[in-house]
Amino acid sequence: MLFQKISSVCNQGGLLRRFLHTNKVQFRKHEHPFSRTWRILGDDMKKIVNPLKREEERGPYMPLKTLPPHADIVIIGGGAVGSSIAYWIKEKTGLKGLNLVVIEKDLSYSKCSTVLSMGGLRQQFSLPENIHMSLFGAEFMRTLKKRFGEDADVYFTPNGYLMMASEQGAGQLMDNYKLQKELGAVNTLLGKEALKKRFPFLNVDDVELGCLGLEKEGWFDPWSFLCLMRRGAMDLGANYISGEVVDFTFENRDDIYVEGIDMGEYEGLDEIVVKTADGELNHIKFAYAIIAGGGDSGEIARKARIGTGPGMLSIPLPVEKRKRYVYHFECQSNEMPGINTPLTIDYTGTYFRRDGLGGTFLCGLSPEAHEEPSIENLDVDHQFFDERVWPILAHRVPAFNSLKVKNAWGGYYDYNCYDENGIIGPHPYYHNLYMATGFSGHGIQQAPAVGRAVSELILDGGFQTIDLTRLGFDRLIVDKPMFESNIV
Amino acid sequence: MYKLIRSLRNLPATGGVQVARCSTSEKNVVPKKMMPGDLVKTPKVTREEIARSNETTAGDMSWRTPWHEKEGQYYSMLKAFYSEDNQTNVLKMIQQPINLTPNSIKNWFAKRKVKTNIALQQYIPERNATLGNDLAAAHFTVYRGGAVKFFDSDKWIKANKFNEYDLPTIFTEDLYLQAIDCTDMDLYYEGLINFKELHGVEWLSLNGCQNLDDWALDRVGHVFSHSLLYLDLRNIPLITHRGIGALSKMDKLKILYVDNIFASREFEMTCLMLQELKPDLDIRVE
Repeated sequence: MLFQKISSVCNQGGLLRRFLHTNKVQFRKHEHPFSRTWRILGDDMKKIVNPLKREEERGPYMPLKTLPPHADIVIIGGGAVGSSIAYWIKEKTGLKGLNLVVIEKDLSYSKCSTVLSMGGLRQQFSLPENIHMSLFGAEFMRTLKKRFGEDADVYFTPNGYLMMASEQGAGQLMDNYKLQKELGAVNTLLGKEALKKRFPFLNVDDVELGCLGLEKEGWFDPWSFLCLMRRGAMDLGANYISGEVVDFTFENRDDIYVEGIDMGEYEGLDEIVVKTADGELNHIKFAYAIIAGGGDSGEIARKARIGTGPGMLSIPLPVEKRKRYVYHFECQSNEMPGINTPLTIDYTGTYFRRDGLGGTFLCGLSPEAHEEPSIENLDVDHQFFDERVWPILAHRVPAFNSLKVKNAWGGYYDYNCYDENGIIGPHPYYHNLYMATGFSGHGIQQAPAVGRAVSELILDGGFQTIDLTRLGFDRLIVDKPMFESNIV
Repeated sequence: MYKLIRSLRNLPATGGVQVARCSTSEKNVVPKKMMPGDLVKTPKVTREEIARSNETTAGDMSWRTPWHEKEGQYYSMLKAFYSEDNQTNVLKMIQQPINLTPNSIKNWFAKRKVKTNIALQQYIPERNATLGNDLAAAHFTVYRGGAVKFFDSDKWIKANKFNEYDLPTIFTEDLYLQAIDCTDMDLYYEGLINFKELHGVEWLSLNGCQNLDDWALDRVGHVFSHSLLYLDLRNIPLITHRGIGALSKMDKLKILYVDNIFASREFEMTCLMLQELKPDLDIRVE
């Protein structure tokens, strides 16, 4: 194999290998044994002398103030997916089973994709894994009260999804419908007349076929979902840390033998370096690390030399941020969409749904590849709405000819450039690094299933319920993309 | 030889996004007309690519031979006693402190009872295969204290205090359910699946079924969508206006009973909008 050749050539000069790395390789800070002893004894004394004081300093559900020097499992990213993984691992191991730490850089979640999302739940996908994950997501949200108590609620609105297809896409829509029906989703195909009869506000001249979800499809409140998962994880003993992962440290492991790497050449991950608000760098040694950082996952992976190293490490994690806009508008015409409006997705990709009962709607559209907005900030481009979204909305729903935009916001998709589906599973080189990211806009409904899947991988050794092998990192190596037709 | 994938692409260097004031906030701006031809979007992924994705197997993803399958490697005979199952649930159970206070035993027992009841209400394929959908649903309802009525028959069938009732036990032609009365029944979401694909139930009462919520209304709305005329949803504390909105799926609904239309503003608005959508619908309270 090519990477064996490269490594054997490079091994001839041990020094030569160092220069091929683009970033400085860090090793664990050397601590003098005497100072280490005094430090540990000092910490123990503090714990014995004031055990109660530590508990009072930190209120319930507050993040940790002093960072632990080590943890069993470290989850990078505390959004829906990260908190879901924390909850499931803790649920399967109990209060004292594992030491779990979730590192979130912004605990107010101001720019987090989870809270800025539309909170859609649908089973209308073309990939069986996505359908299974959404079905489980629906089951999970239905049985929230059993897990989290009587006042747990995500405010689910069961209005369904309506996917429309032109003549070109009708064949794909029918294939998807058959697959979804086979796997247990409940939806129905509607022709032109049926669509017009059911939704008189639609203009269906150029629509060939529509697929309407009849059960377990709709939208919910992602912020409540996030809060529930966080509280659930914290109740079971997970610790949240406010900090940003800036680096990993590495360790030469002569004892680990990985196929494709020469014996003695393996450099494993040892610690993560977390920068807290006061600028201090803390090292946390871990047994397993899980990257669930949303749009930032690609950068975090690069700090672990994924994409910049030799051999297997030369394939980057292709997850990056993409900005998407959501516009909140009001329409008061007589023929506006009524109470039965599903989340309607046009064949151009434009979508809209009701928001509340007062004639307010949310809408959006993913921009084309050449007009991707800059990801530097979350400022909204209103011209995009005027030029691209509104004409399509007005064409599809004539009542939307007169509307008024009240509000708009931008959010990041954790966009997987390779095939727009999640990457879930271990990294082939590192035995202690897992990834759960890249969901490209449909991650919130798959968060419960992904959390369970990763917990099964780590605790049970393999997928037990839904088999997500095809969505692993390995598909990037063998170049077999798992495409999804219904990306919105 | 593996190919390098498309790397993270460089986004076009657009200098700062224009944050112009939205022109639609001014009145009477007409959007540009777009011809249907302009709207057609070429899909990013073709049908063939999707089919090919769906056909790849998990086996295709394993590009490394497992260690025990390589030349000269083998498992010893002790592998016969090795179990793949980590049994994390057993491990967790033995690590839980045992709580023998009367309160926790009561809670444990109540939770077990709920789980048993849900399991007893699941869909049994053999029952529906033997009796047909209508009769199976009738047996399901009457056994649990409900009452049913068939077309072409005037009497309601309900179990007596010894839980005996008069329903045929084999498939009978032309026996279709007209009305189902689940008043004060211990019905769960998982039990509603027994009512699927019925011929034409016109009357349904879920009065007092404490365990139903919006998800259950979603299912009720779909399962009885083609034929239901009367629906009674009183004394169900967990349903909200979102569930009532889901009833718009029912084509022929004429009479809907709810607890209190003015329970909240949203509830009132939902009822109004539902009546707008269905002019024949009559939402009643008592």
